[in-house]
Amino acid sequence: MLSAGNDIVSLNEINVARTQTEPLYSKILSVSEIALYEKLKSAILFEHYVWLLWSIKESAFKYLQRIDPELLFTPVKFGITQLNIPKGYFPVSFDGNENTLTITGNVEFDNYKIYSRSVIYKELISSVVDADKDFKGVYSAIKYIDSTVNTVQSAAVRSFLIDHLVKETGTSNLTIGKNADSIPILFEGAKELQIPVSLSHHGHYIAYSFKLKH
Amino acid sequence: MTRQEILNELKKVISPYTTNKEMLAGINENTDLIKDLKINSANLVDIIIDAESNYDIEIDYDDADKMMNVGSCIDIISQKIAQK
Repeated sequence: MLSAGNDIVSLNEINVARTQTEPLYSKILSVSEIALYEKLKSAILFEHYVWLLWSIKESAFKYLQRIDPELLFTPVKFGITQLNIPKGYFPVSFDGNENTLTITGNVEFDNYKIYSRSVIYKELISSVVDADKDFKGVYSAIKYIDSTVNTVQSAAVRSFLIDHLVKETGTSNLTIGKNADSIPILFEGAKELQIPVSLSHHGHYIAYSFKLKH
Repeated sequence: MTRQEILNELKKVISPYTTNKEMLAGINENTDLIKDLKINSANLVDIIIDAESNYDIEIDYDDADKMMNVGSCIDIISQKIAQK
Protein backbone atom coordinates (compact mmCIF):
# COMPACT_ATOMS: atom_id res chain seq x y z
CA MET A 1 0.00 0.00 0.00
CA LEU A 2 1.31 3.43 -0.93
CA SER A 3 1.52 5.85 1.95
CA ALA A 4 3.04 9.19 2.89
CA GLY A 5 4.23 10.76 6.11
CA ASN A 6 5.82 14.06 7.01
CA ASP A 7 6.14 16.43 9.95
CA ILE A 8 7.44 19.91 10.63
CA VAL A 9 8.54 21.36 13.96
CA SER A 10 8.94 25.11 14.32
CA LEU A 11 11.90 25.59 16.63
CA ASN A 12 10.59 28.99 17.75
CA GLU A 13 7.66 27.16 19.35
CA ILE A 14 9.90 24.77 21.25
CA ASN A 15 10.79 25.29 24.88
CA VAL A 16 14.51 24.55 24.84
CA ALA A 17 14.93 24.43 28.63
CA ARG A 18 12.02 22.01 28.97
CA THR A 19 13.32 19.84 26.12
CA GLN A 20 16.50 19.29 28.11
CA THR A 21 14.57 17.92 31.07
CA GLU A 22 14.18 14.19 31.57
CA PRO A 23 10.35 14.27 31.92
CA LEU A 24 10.11 15.64 28.38
CA TYR A 25 12.83 13.87 26.45
CA SER A 26 12.07 10.52 28.08
CA LYS A 27 8.59 10.70 26.54
CA ILE A 28 10.10 11.01 23.07
CA LEU A 29 13.39 9.12 23.19
CA SER A 30 13.91 5.49 24.11
CA VAL A 31 16.84 4.44 26.29
CA SER A 32 18.80 3.35 23.21
CA GLU A 33 18.12 6.67 21.48
CA ILE A 34 19.39 8.55 24.55
CA ALA A 35 22.52 6.40 24.29
CA LEU A 36 22.75 7.08 20.53
CA TYR A 37 22.97 10.80 21.26
CA GLU A 38 26.26 10.23 23.07
CA LYS A 39 27.77 9.28 19.70
CA LEU A 40 26.23 12.26 17.92
CA LYS A 41 26.53 15.03 20.46
CA SER A 42 29.47 16.72 18.75
CA ALA A 43 27.36 17.00 15.59
CA ILE A 44 23.93 18.12 16.81
CA LEU A 45 22.42 20.08 19.70
CA PHE A 46 20.40 17.97 22.11
CA GLU A 47 17.20 19.98 21.61
CA HIS A 48 17.55 19.56 17.85
CA TYR A 49 18.16 15.84 18.31
CA VAL A 50 15.02 15.43 20.45
CA TRP A 51 12.75 17.25 18.00
CA LEU A 52 14.42 15.69 14.97
CA LEU A 53 13.56 12.27 16.37
CA TRP A 54 10.06 13.49 17.21
CA SER A 55 9.55 14.66 13.61
CA ILE A 56 10.80 11.36 12.18
CA LYS A 57 8.60 9.37 14.57
CA GLU A 58 5.53 11.51 13.89
CA SER A 59 6.14 11.15 10.13
CA ALA A 60 6.43 7.37 10.51
CA PHE A 61 3.26 7.32 12.60
CA LYS A 62 1.36 9.21 9.89
CA TYR A 63 2.77 6.85 7.26
CA LEU A 64 1.65 3.75 9.17
CA GLN A 65 -1.67 5.22 10.33
CA ARG A 66 -2.86 5.20 6.72
CA ILE A 67 -2.18 1.44 6.72
CA ASP A 68 -3.55 0.85 10.24
CA PRO A 69 -5.99 3.62 11.27
CA GLU A 70 -6.25 2.19 14.80
CA LEU A 71 -2.59 2.90 15.46
CA LEU A 72 -1.80 5.12 18.46
CA PHE A 73 1.20 7.42 18.53
CA THR A 74 3.62 6.40 21.22
CA PRO A 75 6.90 8.12 20.31
CA VAL A 76 9.21 5.80 22.29
CA LYS A 77 7.82 2.76 20.46
CA PHE A 78 9.05 4.12 17.12
CA GLY A 79 12.72 3.23 17.21
CA ILE A 80 15.33 5.26 15.39
CA THR A 81 17.92 2.61 14.64
CA GLN A 82 20.18 4.70 12.45
CA LEU A 83 20.80 8.40 11.98
CA ASN A 84 23.34 9.72 9.51
CA ILE A 85 24.34 13.31 10.07
CA PRO A 86 26.35 14.45 7.05
CA LYS A 87 29.79 15.88 7.47
CA GLY A 88 29.63 19.66 7.43
CA TYR A 89 26.04 19.74 8.66
CA PHE A 90 25.23 23.08 10.28
CA PRO A 91 21.78 24.68 10.60
CA VAL A 92 21.43 27.80 8.45
CA SER A 93 18.43 30.15 8.20
CA PHE A 94 15.51 28.99 6.08
CA ASP A 95 15.21 31.48 3.21
CA GLY A 96 12.51 29.67 1.27
CA ASN A 97 14.95 27.56 -0.69
CA GLU A 98 15.63 24.04 0.47
CA ASN A 99 19.38 24.06 0.23
CA THR A 100 20.74 22.35 3.29
CA LEU A 101 22.22 18.90 3.86
CA THR A 102 19.84 16.00 4.41
CA ILE A 103 19.97 13.84 7.51
CA THR A 104 18.96 10.28 6.68
CA GLY A 105 17.76 7.66 9.10
CA ASN A 106 15.93 4.40 9.72
CA VAL A 107 12.88 4.08 11.92
CA GLU A 108 11.32 0.81 13.00
CA PHE A 109 7.92 -0.01 14.43
CA ASP A 110 6.75 -3.59 14.94
CA ASN A 111 7.80 -5.30 11.71
CA TYR A 112 7.96 -2.15 9.65
CA LYS A 113 11.21 -0.56 8.61
CA ILE A 114 10.90 2.93 7.19
CA TYR A 115 13.46 5.40 5.94
CA SER A 116 13.62 9.06 6.84
CA ARG A 117 15.01 12.20 5.26
CA SER A 118 15.17 15.32 7.40
CA VAL A 119 16.45 18.85 7.21
CA ILE A 120 17.25 21.18 10.09
CA TYR A 121 17.32 24.94 9.70
CA LYS A 122 17.74 27.48 12.51
CA GLU A 123 13.96 27.91 12.50
CA LEU A 124 12.61 24.44 11.79
CA ILE A 125 13.03 20.71 11.52
CA SER A 126 11.23 18.87 8.76
CA SER A 127 11.07 15.14 8.05
CA VAL A 128 9.64 12.91 5.36
CA VAL A 129 9.52 9.12 5.46
CA ASP A 130 9.06 6.34 2.95
CA ALA A 131 9.31 2.55 2.83
CA ASP A 132 11.58 2.89 -0.21
CA LYS A 133 15.12 3.85 0.71
CA ASP A 134 15.46 5.82 -2.54
CA PHE A 135 12.23 7.80 -1.96
CA LYS A 136 11.14 7.14 -5.56
CA GLY A 137 8.08 9.21 -6.41
CA VAL A 138 8.16 11.08 -3.08
CA TYR A 139 7.76 14.84 -3.30
CA SER A 140 7.83 17.31 -0.44
CA ALA A 141 8.24 21.00 0.29
CA ILE A 142 8.40 23.54 3.11
CA LYS A 143 7.16 27.11 3.17
CA TYR A 144 7.03 30.08 5.56
CA ILE A 145 3.66 31.77 5.99
CA ASP A 146 2.80 34.91 7.92
CA SER A 147 -0.23 33.59 9.74
CA THR A 148 -0.12 31.26 12.72
CA VAL A 149 -3.91 30.90 12.76
CA ASN A 150 -4.72 27.21 12.55
CA THR A 151 -7.45 27.48 9.91
CA VAL A 152 -5.34 29.77 7.73
CA GLN A 153 -2.37 27.40 7.94
CA SER A 154 -4.55 24.42 7.22
CA ALA A 155 -5.89 26.07 4.05
CA ALA A 156 -2.40 27.31 3.06
CA VAL A 157 -0.76 23.90 3.29
CA ARG A 158 -3.55 22.34 1.20
CA SER A 159 -3.21 25.01 -1.46
CA PHE A 160 0.61 24.67 -1.43
CA LEU A 161 0.30 20.90 -1.91
CA ILE A 162 -2.35 21.12 -4.62
CA ASP A 163 -0.23 23.57 -6.65
CA HIS A 164 2.56 21.00 -6.71
CA LEU A 165 0.21 18.08 -7.45
CA VAL A 166 -1.29 19.93 -10.40
CA LYS A 167 2.20 20.42 -11.85
CA GLU A 168 3.24 16.80 -11.29
CA THR A 169 0.05 15.07 -12.39
CA GLY A 170 -1.49 17.54 -14.83
CA THR A 171 -4.75 16.98 -13.00
CA SER A 172 -6.95 19.87 -12.02
CA ASN A 173 -10.03 20.17 -9.77
CA LEU A 174 -8.11 18.69 -6.85
CA THR A 175 -9.25 19.01 -3.25
CA ILE A 176 -8.12 17.50 0.01
CA GLY A 177 -10.51 16.14 2.60
CA LYS A 178 -10.07 13.94 5.64
CA ASN A 179 -11.55 10.53 6.22
CA ALA A 180 -13.20 9.40 9.47
CA ASP A 181 -9.77 8.65 10.92
CA SER A 182 -8.55 12.18 10.12
CA ILE A 183 -6.21 10.90 7.42
CA PRO A 184 -5.93 13.34 4.49
CA ILE A 185 -7.45 12.10 1.25
CA LEU A 186 -6.98 13.58 -2.21
CA PHE A 187 -9.99 14.01 -4.50
CA GLU A 188 -10.34 14.88 -8.15
CA GLY A 189 -13.86 16.28 -8.17
CA ALA A 190 -15.81 13.64 -6.23
CA LYS A 191 -13.38 10.83 -7.09
CA GLU A 192 -10.88 9.72 -4.46
CA LEU A 193 -7.37 9.46 -5.90
CA GLN A 194 -4.90 6.82 -4.76
CA ILE A 195 -2.19 9.38 -4.13
CA PRO A 196 -1.25 9.44 -0.45
CA VAL A 197 -0.61 12.91 0.92
CA SER A 198 0.65 14.15 4.28
CA LEU A 199 0.32 17.64 5.71
CA SER A 200 1.93 19.44 8.62
CA HIS A 201 2.03 22.93 10.04
CA HIS A 202 3.59 24.44 13.14
CA GLY A 203 4.36 28.02 14.08
CA HIS A 204 4.98 29.93 10.85
CA TYR A 205 5.85 26.88 8.76
CA ILE A 206 3.88 24.52 6.58
CA ALA A 207 5.07 21.36 4.84
CA TYR A 208 3.68 18.46 2.83
CA SER A 209 4.71 15.23 1.19
CA PHE A 210 3.05 12.96 -1.31
CA LYS A 211 3.96 9.83 -3.23
CA LEU A 212 3.28 9.03 -6.87
CA LYS A 213 3.48 5.56 -8.39
CA HIS A 214 6.53 5.21 -10.59
CA MET B 1 -11.14 14.75 42.99
CA THR B 2 -14.33 14.37 40.97
CA ARG B 3 -14.24 14.12 37.18
CA GLN B 4 -15.67 17.62 36.98
CA GLU B 5 -12.91 18.97 39.25
CA ILE B 6 -10.27 17.27 37.12
CA LEU B 7 -11.89 18.68 33.97
CA ASN B 8 -11.83 22.20 35.41
CA GLU B 9 -8.14 21.85 36.26
CA LEU B 10 -7.42 20.27 32.90
CA LYS B 11 -8.86 23.30 31.16
CA LYS B 12 -6.16 25.42 32.82
CA VAL B 13 -3.46 22.93 31.81
CA ILE B 14 -4.60 22.90 28.18
CA SER B 15 -5.22 26.64 27.88
CA PRO B 16 -1.66 27.75 26.90
CA TYR B 17 -1.62 25.27 24.03
CA THR B 18 -4.84 26.12 22.21
CA THR B 19 -5.92 29.27 20.45
CA ASN B 20 -9.45 27.92 20.19
CA LYS B 21 -10.59 29.55 23.46
CA GLU B 22 -14.26 29.33 22.52
CA MET B 23 -14.05 25.56 22.15
CA LEU B 24 -11.94 25.34 25.33
CA ALA B 25 -14.62 27.16 27.32
CA GLY B 26 -17.18 24.55 26.26
CA ILE B 27 -15.04 21.39 26.46
CA ASN B 28 -16.59 18.14 27.51
CA GLU B 29 -15.35 14.56 27.81
CA ASN B 30 -15.69 14.00 24.05
CA THR B 31 -13.60 17.00 23.05
CA ASP B 32 -10.63 15.83 20.98
CA LEU B 33 -7.37 17.62 21.80
CA ILE B 34 -6.08 17.69 18.22
CA LYS B 35 -9.23 17.70 16.08
CA ASP B 36 -11.36 20.04 18.21
CA LEU B 37 -8.91 22.15 20.18
CA LYS B 38 -6.38 22.22 17.29
CA ILE B 39 -3.52 21.52 19.65
CA ASN B 40 -0.30 20.73 17.83
CA SER B 41 0.75 17.16 18.48
CA ALA B 42 4.16 18.37 19.72
CA ASN B 43 2.34 20.18 22.54
CA LEU B 44 0.64 16.98 23.74
CA VAL B 45 3.92 16.13 25.47
CA ASP B 46 3.80 19.52 27.22
CA ILE B 47 0.25 18.87 28.37
CA ILE B 48 1.22 15.49 29.80
CA ILE B 49 4.20 17.01 31.65
CA ASP B 50 2.07 19.88 32.98
CA ALA B 51 -0.59 17.40 34.10
CA GLU B 52 2.08 15.32 35.87
CA SER B 53 3.32 18.36 37.69
CA ASN B 54 -0.16 19.72 38.43
CA TYR B 55 -1.50 16.49 39.92
CA ASP B 56 1.85 15.18 41.22
CA ILE B 57 1.50 11.99 39.22
CA GLU B 58 3.59 10.13 36.66
CA ILE B 59 2.09 9.27 33.29
CA ASP B 60 4.01 6.62 31.37
CA TYR B 61 4.02 6.37 27.60
CA ASP B 62 1.49 3.55 27.46
CA ASP B 63 -1.00 5.83 29.18
CA ALA B 64 0.10 8.97 27.37
CA ASP B 65 -0.79 7.56 23.95
CA LYS B 66 -4.41 7.16 25.05
CA MET B 67 -4.78 10.80 26.07
CA MET B 68 -6.43 11.91 22.84
CA ASN B 69 -9.64 13.37 24.18
CA VAL B 70 -10.65 15.08 27.42
CA GLY B 71 -12.48 12.00 28.74
CA SER B 72 -9.47 9.71 28.30
CA CYS B 73 -7.23 12.36 29.93
CA ILE B 74 -9.56 12.42 32.94
CA ASP B 75 -9.58 8.57 33.05
CA ILE B 76 -5.78 8.40 33.19
CA ILE B 77 -5.40 11.31 35.65
CA SER B 78 -8.02 9.92 38.04
CA GLN B 79 -6.42 6.45 37.89
CA LYS B 80 -3.01 7.91 38.68
CA ILE B 81 -4.39 10.02 41.55
CA ALA B 82 -6.08 6.93 43.00
CA GLN B 83 -2.79 5.00 42.83
CA LYS B 84 -0.90 7.62 44.84
